[in-house]
Amino acid sequence: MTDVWVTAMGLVAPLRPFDTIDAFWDALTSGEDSIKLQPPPLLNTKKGWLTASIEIGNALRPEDKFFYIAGAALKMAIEDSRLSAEELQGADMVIGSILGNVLSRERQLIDGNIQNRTVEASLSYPVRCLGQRFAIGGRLRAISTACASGTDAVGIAARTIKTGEAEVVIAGGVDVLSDFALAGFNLLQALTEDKVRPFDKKRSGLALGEGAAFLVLEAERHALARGAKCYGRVLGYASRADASHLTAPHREGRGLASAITAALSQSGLRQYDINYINAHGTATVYNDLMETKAIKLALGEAAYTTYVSSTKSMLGHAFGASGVIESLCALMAIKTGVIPPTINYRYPDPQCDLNYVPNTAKATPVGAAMSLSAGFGGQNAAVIFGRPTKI
Amino acid sequence: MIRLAVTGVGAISPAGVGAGALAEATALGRRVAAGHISETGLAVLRKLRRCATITSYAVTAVDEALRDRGAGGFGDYALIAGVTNGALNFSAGFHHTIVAEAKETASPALFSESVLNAPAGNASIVFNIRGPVHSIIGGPSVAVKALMLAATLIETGRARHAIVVCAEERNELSSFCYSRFNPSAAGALSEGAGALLIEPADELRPINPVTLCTISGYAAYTIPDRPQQALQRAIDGALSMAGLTVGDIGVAVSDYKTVQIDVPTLSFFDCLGYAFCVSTMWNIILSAMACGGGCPINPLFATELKKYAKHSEINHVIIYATEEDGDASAVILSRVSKP
Repeated sequence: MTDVWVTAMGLVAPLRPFDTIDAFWDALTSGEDSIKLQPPPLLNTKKGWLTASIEIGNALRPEDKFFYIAGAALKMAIEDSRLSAEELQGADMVIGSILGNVLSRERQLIDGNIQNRTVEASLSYPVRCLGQRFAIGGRLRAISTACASGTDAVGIAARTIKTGEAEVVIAGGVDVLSDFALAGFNLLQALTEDKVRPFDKKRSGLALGEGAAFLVLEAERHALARGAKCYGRVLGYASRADASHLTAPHREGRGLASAITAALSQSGLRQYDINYINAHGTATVYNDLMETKAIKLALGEAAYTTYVSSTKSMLGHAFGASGVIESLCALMAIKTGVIPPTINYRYPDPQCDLNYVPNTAKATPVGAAMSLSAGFGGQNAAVIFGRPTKI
Repeated sequence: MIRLAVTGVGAISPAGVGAGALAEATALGRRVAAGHISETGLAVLRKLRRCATITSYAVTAVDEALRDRGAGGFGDYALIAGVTNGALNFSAGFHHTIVAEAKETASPALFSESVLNAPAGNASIVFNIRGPVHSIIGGPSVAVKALMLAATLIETGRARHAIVVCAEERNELSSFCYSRFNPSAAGALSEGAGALLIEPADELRPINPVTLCTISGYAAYTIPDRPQQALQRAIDGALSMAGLTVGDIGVAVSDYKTVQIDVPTLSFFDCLGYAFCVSTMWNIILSAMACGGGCPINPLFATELKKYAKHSEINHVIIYATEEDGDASAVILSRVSKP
């Protein structure tokens, strides 16, 4: 089977405005916190929420944000890829999202206008619109596996190339903040009113975020033939279900450990070969404990020498986009040899006893990095990236 | 390429619970479309008392498709769900409470059960399926795309068996919008679920009595705003993968109004109504059952096929689907010789 290269990246995320991935990375590795108390996206209520949101200015309506950030991130990735129009015509695209253009639906509900709502309500609608706008002519797929959607999109894209079904697949994740999600996670008592403190003993919940990220994945021979650059290679991917509870993770991390083990086996790497794990790290009590147990179960003693950090401490939880954003972070850690920190970390939890890169980035060579995701439905996904092939 | 077989089917539709009810209704040409399915009759759903209607449909269909496999033992199975709209009623209920009524509280189940992967997640919990569980979202062509994803998982060794399930529920909103876009078809919106169990055919030697058919070829393409062109590519791709020509195909099954290839083309739309991606899954299930019938012309298709004189034997059936915006897919099912 062919090697899969990541040949381009595009991103729109919270943090201060950036034009390049390098600028984003500088902000992230300096520990910049984008989570602030903000009003809800559409509803006119007094209650504020701790969220990591993207500023789009006054020229656009909130309900245009989904297409705005998705289009900008995809454009950045396509420009970075230098793929020709003909190559884009033959490319597949897989996008992970949980809620799609949910703000459009909310606006229509507020306005009492239900025309066209079923068309726009379908998650596949924005995927087709983006495919049409950028003339991506292969198979278009929308994946929704809750908070693992983005990681699954990357993994499914890589698998599509490995099986020879396509030479180029664009993998993306897009989701925006919505009143729907804020109210829902609030009802589930998952939101924090403090700082987001992944793996900290006093962690009290997550902050929601938003974003759009795209990776261009390519068969090695195709990338070599056109002289494409390589950010890294997709070495392994696996998805496993907890089969336990719809909203709560399996307490011992059964599904996630199984996904890590399967991805590792596929990659041909050993447990000690993984230098960095970008954790799901939501900062909920149960997720972080489950994730720590899963990493220890899958990596054994190597878990204690592997750096583990949660970029959600700075970017919030961008739902279906988070898996692709965090895959991008894993690739940048390999490229730059800098591991982003877990910020707001103060009180070690005896049960969460791994090296979480507290508060300050760590400079160290990273040969292989893993990104983990878990979500509603008992979804778990692990994807492993490695250094570019030396040609 | 590993040859894959369909070894189990399950369905729930306005015709009733079970693939048999679906087959009986279509064989008789009985119009059963429209109306809410009020009773699934499935004991296992007691575990999911707060689940959305779409989940109860999905679980009912999966239960039937797995029935011959006994209880449990599905740890190495994959489950791929195809969904178009998801839990419309729960989602609308939550939206209405939070957004339209501006209330601060609502049932958390309205939120968690309305995520698009809830039917797949709940099915994995009920049947203890711990392999890859994915939900792929789209219109009628997504049933084939879900099948293709399952096939890839088996071919790459990520799973040994896969359940593919499509499920939809209707509500006032989807009925209203459907009637606006399809004024002539008002009232024909349907709901339910369909499920397939697929496994490597070569591991089933001698051919298992429950093997309904093999999956010979499949393909999916998107050509924005050119559905006919996308569909032609999908059909050509599926034929090429199967190593067949149009002349080998005994019958085509599709709800797409324009006949795409020169073979007898059947549609069960008038009988079952339109249930988005589930309609395509029902077409696949009915075709698999027809292939597995073991007779030259299965009675299932007889009512419709009597309009066509020249086809006395069906060895291969193509099922295709497309959407106005240019998403298309096709799958070919082939009859197997029984021992």
